[in-house]
Amino acid sequence: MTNQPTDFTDSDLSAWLDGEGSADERARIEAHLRSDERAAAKVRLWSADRDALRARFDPVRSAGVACSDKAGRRRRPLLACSLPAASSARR
Amino acid sequence: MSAPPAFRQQLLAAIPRLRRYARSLVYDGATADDLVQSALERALNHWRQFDPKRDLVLWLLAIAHNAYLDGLRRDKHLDIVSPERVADTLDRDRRHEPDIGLQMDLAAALARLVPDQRSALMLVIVEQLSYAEAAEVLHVPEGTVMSRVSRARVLLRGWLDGSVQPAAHLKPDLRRVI
Repeated sequence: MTNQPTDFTDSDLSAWLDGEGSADERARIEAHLRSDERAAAKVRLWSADRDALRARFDPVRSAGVACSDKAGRRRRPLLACSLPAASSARR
Repeated sequence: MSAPPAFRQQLLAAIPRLRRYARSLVYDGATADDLVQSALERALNHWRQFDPKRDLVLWLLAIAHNAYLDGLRRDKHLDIVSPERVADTLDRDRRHEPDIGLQMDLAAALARLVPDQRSALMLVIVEQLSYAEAAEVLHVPEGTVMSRVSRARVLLRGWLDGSVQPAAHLKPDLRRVI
């Protein structure tokens, strides 16, 4: 017999996926995921969603700072463009 | 006195993260750029309030988040609405979403999350902040971040696989979560 909890909430599993919790808590959740296929499948889907979200927004990070857009919709220049280092970085 | 060069340099380095967070909150590129702009202006105007021992990115994301919330409050469509208007909105949603059971794409599903859920999810997943860091940005307890992220995940997945019908929920911007 163990006295490990067998029911973990979605919050617990979600936090585990995000790398939260103590080593002990994480170990208990991992044991649970090995024995509960439904919980494991749920976490796998969340993990796939996480990857899809990161893939969707990561390009923004490397896109740099746009000082004006092609359509000329910008009403005012991005402040970043007036920062001294911004102009030197663009040259 | 304006912000010192070292501060501006740090600010500049944080802009890509700021832009990404802004885009994950508002989607529309021009609106996201406005949000970035006002966050940078606020940061430059209040640079003295920045404690150099803290993480500038977190400070900046928190400023952006406040600017985002201010924008929501300014938008008259996001005022507290009467029950009649909620019903109207739900009816309109049903008319526009005849494809019951069809899967939603990621963008549509994200757009359905209430701002509180979306911001928590984006900070943790896309910005890869810890719950403690996200809690600092959002000015809420860690447990609140945990429950918002979890709730957002469950809803998102349900909408993506069609097991949860959006019409069963209030329109995201008419509701706040705890």
